[in-house]
Amino acid sequence: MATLKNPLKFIKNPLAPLLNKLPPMPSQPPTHQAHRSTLLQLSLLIGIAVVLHFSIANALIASFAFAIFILKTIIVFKNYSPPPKLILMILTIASLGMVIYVYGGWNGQRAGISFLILLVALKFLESESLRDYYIVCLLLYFLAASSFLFDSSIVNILLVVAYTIATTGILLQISNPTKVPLKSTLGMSTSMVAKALPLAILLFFFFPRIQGSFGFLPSSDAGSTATSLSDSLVAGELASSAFNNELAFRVEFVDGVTPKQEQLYWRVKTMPLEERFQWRVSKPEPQNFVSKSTNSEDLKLDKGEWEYSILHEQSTDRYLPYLDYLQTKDRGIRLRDFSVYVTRRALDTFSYNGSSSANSFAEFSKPSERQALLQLSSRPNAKMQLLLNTWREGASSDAEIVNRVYEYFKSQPFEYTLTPRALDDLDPFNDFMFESQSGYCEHYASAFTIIMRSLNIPSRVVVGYQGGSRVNDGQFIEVRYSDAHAWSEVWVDGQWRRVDPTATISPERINLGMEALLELWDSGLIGSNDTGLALENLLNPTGASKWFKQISDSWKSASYQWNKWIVNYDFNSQRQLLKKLGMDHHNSVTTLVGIMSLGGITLLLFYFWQLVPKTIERDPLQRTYLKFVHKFKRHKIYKKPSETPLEFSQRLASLFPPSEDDIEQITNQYYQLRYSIESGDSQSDIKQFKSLIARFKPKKS
Amino acid sequence: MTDFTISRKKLYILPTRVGWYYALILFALFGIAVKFDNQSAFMMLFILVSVGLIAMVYTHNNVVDLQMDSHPSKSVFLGQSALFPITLSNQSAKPRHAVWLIAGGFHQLTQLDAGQNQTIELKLPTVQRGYLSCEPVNLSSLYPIGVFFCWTKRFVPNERCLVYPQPLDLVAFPEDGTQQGKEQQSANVLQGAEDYAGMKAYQDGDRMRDIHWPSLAKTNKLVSIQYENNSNASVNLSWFTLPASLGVEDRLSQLCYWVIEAEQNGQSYQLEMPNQTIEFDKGLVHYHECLRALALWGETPVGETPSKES
Repeated sequence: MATLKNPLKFIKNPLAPLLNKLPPMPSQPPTHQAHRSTLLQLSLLIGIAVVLHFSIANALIASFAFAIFILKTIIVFKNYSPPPKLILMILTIASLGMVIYVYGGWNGQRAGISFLILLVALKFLESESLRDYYIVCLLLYFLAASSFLFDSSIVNILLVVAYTIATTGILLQISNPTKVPLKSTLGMSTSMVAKALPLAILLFFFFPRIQGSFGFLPSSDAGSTATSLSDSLVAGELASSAFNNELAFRVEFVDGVTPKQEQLYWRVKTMPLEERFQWRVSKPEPQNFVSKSTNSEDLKLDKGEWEYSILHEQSTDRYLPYLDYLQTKDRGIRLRDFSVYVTRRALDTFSYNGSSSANSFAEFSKPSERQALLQLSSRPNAKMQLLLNTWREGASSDAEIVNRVYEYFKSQPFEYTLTPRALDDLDPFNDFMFESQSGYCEHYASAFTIIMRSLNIPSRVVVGYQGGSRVNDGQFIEVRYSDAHAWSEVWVDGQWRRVDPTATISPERINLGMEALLELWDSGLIGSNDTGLALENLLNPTGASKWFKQISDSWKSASYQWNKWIVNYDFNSQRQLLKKLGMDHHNSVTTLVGIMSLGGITLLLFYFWQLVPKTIERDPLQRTYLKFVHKFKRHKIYKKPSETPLEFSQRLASLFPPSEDDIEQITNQYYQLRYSIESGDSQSDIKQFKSLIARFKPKKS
Repeated sequence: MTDFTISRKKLYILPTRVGWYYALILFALFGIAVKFDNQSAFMMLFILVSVGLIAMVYTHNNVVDLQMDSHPSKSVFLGQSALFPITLSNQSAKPRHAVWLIAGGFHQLTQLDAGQNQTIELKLPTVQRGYLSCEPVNLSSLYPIGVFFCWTKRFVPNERCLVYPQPLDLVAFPEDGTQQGKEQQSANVLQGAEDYAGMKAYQDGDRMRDIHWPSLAKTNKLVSIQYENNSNASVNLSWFTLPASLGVEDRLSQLCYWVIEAEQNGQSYQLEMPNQTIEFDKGLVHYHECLRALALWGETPVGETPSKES
């Protein structure tokens, strides 16, 4: 039995050998009651948290949490004792049931965070002892951090840091039995968090990023808020996105080599399948994947004219935007049609690099593929047939035919509008070409591609973005969903050529971008005589609007840097950072941990050194006098803090009658040196005083 | 008197229970950050990790370089708390918050401003007469956010408190050296039985009725009459006169009571013990000598009693 017990004992407490070396820990100080004002502050903090989570959690759950919070606040305010256990149990079960009812189970971020809110509220309600309140504070930290799963914007992190400071302030108050004024508490917690920030930033950048997941945590909700370009192009649908001002992605060009505005065609997906004026993407087949090894000579894998890195917002789209025409990429799978496909959707914003050049290079095309790109379901009517014949007649090459059709679009009174009328259900193509003659980019791209196919020229519709707004003098470009665009690509002279019929119908759309166009439309100036002036104002703003633009640009810039360096920081950015620091290919875990611990320890030591309490500097005179005071220690005589030197000397004189004169002399001299203005040569006086004290020896009768 | 400066080497620091909870929360947060590959959550995690580490620095610095000093303690009777004055001094330019002074079961919270000295009386219970050594003193702190607990090596003050026996009134006060068992008269009656002893200049504290008013009229000076209580002038407090049924501690307690009584009455008294006799006298020195003899009965051999007197 005894042999069994001993090893078990050892296992039970692995710290035992370590703890044996430490001196015994004193009994923990008695706990105290949290101050009421602290609790009211905590209550306020929880109230704000619950209110802020109304937007994330289900309204029912948030209201329930809010009700619990109100109840607790009343309890704290009126100094009632917490509700009985039975009520707490009922509330807990009710809240669990509610989470399951609302979200249909446990899995999911929203269910998780709702549960967390309820947990904080319920724990707060039942809290009585100091430890309970500690736990509430810790849960608050956790709640603040988990709000990042829904919003990683720079505003949110500022909010969360403020929240952290406040929560730390509460912890400060809770752990201090004496009441401290709120101002000094907040000052203290702010200084703590401020000191923590450099360390946190260091850890953040050098902590090795791991790939992987913990199965036991709630899975993320399938992209509930993210937008994406649709996989099909239905006439009139793209136009509705013109007012969707949401950010799609940001681009930063390497070395500042930026293409011209009219070259900014962000290719996302191609749509080769047509059906009644509607286009669809074809399902990506493995044989269409382009791998580096097999097609290296085709692809000429050197860097393109423009190198850029893209910071993409959260999206459910499986295709990634790249500039026309893709040369190199570092994310996703390249397809034959130059689009890039990802098999795994990103849960959050993500970033990648690419390079492109203005000219497409030859792409191998099998006859069957060519045939597929000539399939049509829309049939040109007789009028259209006539037109087609005139275009075909006498054309020396496909390129000439393309030009003729392009010219036709230019010459006809086609109108570019966001609100085109609905087309005839049975024959939308011919209806558009001859009757309506007004539409958004997708109408023109569709129509143009159908004409091309009717003329036996392989072609397809491409959907992506065009343009984007330049921020901070072109430091980076913001592309929004309103910049969504459709154009066509034709196979001419053995290569793909981009043809954008919209460019001839509304050159402003391409040259100025959607933002400017919308603004022009808004002011109703388009087409009028004032267009030129309006454009001038728009492009070169003056006065208040210029100032406003500057502010908005710097905010956009800050938010971009935030997203680039914090929100999308990953393995690759870490490697980039190390490269910048001159450590190429060294982002191994050992190096990172090395840097991290070295930096962390250095910083902590710096704090130790900087914050360690420094002894108050006493002047030599005071130190000398203290020596005199210490001479009586042997006789168990101490100078009381409240005693003046004179009072002390009087006490000493009565206790050491033989030394009375010496004591008096020393005290007088001390007073003289310390308080008299006319102490002549102080240096020699102090020296004399020192020797006087050195010689002094208290004598007892 | 031992000077005790809390240097870095005398300091120990470990996370508290709340500190472990904090670590648990951080671990959960780490899991979330990795699972959702959420960099902002990583940032928050590292901020919280750093706050914890900074808290450690603060906790350490809240206690380091404080100085502790002990002072002689006053003798007390058994049952009273022994008081050991400890001076905490903060020689630094930083205030110290929420520092606990812990000795045995005694806890005292204190707070020191920059450069402040503070004397705190450790209150320790007395359970036995004789010398009571001061318990080792620990200084500890949970400041600032209670996730780390910092404590110091034991400071053992080289002080002891002499605990006198508990005064107990079991047997009536001996009227004088020879007569026992006689009813003790109340203090007032005793005063009435005083004999005239002379006149002296008025002193603060003299009774109004003792002032000799006719002298005031004559000399314009206040004069009071002095009395001497001859019948109770001296009393022999003897170990041997106590009933045989009393145990040792009860005898000591009774003698202690009598010594206090006699001193209060202003009588001259003698303490008779089996091993020594403290001759007739009165006054504080005599009083404490008697009480020490009682406190140390059976412990210290006669003649080796320390000369210290508080």
